Amino acid sequence: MAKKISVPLTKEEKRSNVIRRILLICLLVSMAILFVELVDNKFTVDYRSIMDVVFVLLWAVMAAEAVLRVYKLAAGGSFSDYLKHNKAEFLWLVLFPVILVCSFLLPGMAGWRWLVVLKMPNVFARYNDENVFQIIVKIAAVFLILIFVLPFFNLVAVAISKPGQIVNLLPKNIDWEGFKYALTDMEFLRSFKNSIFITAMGTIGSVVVVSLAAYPLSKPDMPLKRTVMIFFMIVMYFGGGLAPMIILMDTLGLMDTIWALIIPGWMSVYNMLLMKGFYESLPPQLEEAAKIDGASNMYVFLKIIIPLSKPMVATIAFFQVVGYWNSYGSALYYISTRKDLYPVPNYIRNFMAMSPQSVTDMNPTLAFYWNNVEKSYLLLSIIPIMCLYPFVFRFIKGGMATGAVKG
Amino acid sequence: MKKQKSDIVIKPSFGKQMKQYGNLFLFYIPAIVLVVVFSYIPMAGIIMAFKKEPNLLGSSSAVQGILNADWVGFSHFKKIFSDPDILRALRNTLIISAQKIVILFPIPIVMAICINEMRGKVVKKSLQAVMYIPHFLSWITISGIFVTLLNYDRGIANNVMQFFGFDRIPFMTSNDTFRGVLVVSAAWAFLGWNTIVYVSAITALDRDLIEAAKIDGASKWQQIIHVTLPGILPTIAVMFILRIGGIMDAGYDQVLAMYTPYIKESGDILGTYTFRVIKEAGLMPQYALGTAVGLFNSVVGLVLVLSGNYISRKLFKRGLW
Repeated sequence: MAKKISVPLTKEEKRSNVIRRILLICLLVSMAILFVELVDNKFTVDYRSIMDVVFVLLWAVMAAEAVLRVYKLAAGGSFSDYLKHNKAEFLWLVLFPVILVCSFLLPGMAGWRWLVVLKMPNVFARYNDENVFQIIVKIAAVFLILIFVLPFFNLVAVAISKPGQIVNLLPKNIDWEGFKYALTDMEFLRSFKNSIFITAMGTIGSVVVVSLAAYPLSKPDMPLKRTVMIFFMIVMYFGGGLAPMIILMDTLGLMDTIWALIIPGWMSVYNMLLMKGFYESLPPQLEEAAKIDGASNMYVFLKIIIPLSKPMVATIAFFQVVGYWNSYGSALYYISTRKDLYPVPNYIRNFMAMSPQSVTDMNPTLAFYWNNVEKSYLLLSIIPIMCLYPFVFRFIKGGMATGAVKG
Repeated sequence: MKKQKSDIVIKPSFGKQMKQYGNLFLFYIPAIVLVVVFSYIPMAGIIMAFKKEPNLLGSSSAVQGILNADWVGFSHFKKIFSDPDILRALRNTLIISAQKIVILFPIPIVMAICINEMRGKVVKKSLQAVMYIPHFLSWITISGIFVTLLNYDRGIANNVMQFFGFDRIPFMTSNDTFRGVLVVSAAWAFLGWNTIVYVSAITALDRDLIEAAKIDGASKWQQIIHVTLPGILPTIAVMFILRIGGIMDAGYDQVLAMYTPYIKESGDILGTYTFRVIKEAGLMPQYALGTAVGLFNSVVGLVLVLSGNYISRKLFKRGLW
């Protein structure tokens, strides 16, 4: 049993404990002051000068500690040793008073006060660095989590608050009219239906095409393997561009049909490489055993390989679902007159490009709830992806998704 | 398969291989048909870049129209370097790409190291759970989110700025701030996803090395600088070379989703320019010019990728293929 052993601290240790805490507080408060001065224009000149004075005092405490420490070392005769290992701190000690004075005299140099952060390593080095590291990293991580999550809170808050007020993170005067409108808007629901159809057909087709094509490529003895590989790889790095594609679609008669949004996406070389990498990682013995029993290639693929590849197929299917669901380019290129074929992103894009004034006469409710409706569309379009995300998260985290990037 | 190119030594002869695997060629059929139709045939359309605008409406078929157009050599390409609009788009492409690389490339590395070293599960797991989400959203959705956040009258960003006594800024429609918006939204969308590569590279490192460094008294900082970073340096280098190879794409989907005529000056990139020339020119789509710009773009990109791959193979023995 690991029991915490407490050893009574010596007087020396207690003193250094106090000093390092004071220094940390000084440093953090002085940086907080600088930050507040940076982001805030509201404080009056009085407040600012008080903060300046506090900053100088805090800095003076830190400097006094450093000078005392260096003086002690110098008295002990080990000053040259100190200089050898702590050139940076010494330089800071000499330069910072000059910079501070200059920063008060020349307004342009006020930013130079931020150089106080150079004191940080010295302060942190007094703590057990594993703990300090953990604290910093966790603060940063929480900050990042907020950055990733808060925009959604804002979106939800705007979507369900009564229009005409300033809403930040929490909804005010909750009003579901926007959502109700979005959920009863037939055109939006039709685009939703289109998107579901495109995504379903696209994903099924793509999984079939990709898992078939990758299988022969994963065989080490497959004839002409290199040629076929190059044939596919060229496509990954070079293409004809938009104009030939539009003319081609026109010639094929796919223009203004929903299949124009589905078929071109079926073959994804990147996903094929992912799949190939996965097939290659399967133990070859399974196949060999079946072959010895006289199984055909077809049988091996359907009865042995496919059942084993479920996780990878799921990952690729998810990528394809995301790709098809989110794609707005192809509808932009290949659908010009049949607006009823628009998938969700294009419907939203069109909606965002319009202004509420254009519908004031026809549909005053929509004009009034314009913002709420727009945000509701956005939120509704995210929901299907969010429902699938938890299932795929573990595959992503396992690094499976990066299999093709050899690393 | 008449070409009997028999391989030498250990490998079984071509005929034998064909006997064993021949029926697997059936597996290729759908993929090859799709690639030929939707990738190789459009590549043939590149000849438009060297011809006059094809008269598509007046010809019996599109192919006839393209073939009948007169050759003009490199005049479309000369236009790329003389037309002020295209030059501006080229400049914007390079500036936006460079900003994204300089600002956004190092962050995932730092994040990956921190995530890897983080103790305790709650914070780590929740960060990993939320940071991949934006990668799965449409650029239309992300653009909608940023329009909401940065709205001039009601956006939370402007509310915060006003609270601290600054003026409100029309972020999405101002040429001064649009590139900043692009970088920030790209950061929001991709940083989490881009850490994956580095996290798996770090996980693959030998944990004993770090333990040894710890026993030798290396501080956290020293462990990271002297053990972890050198360990993932090849991965970083490959990713960097890849990133440089992609410099001609300044985020077409992103810019197209956020594009408004107000920010043409700072935000019009080659991709959006091509799109406008082809798709939003009404009855007179400039297919030839669009193809030329697109070809220029992808050739430069291809050259960068190929040379990057070559360098990476030479220096780190690793590349794309």
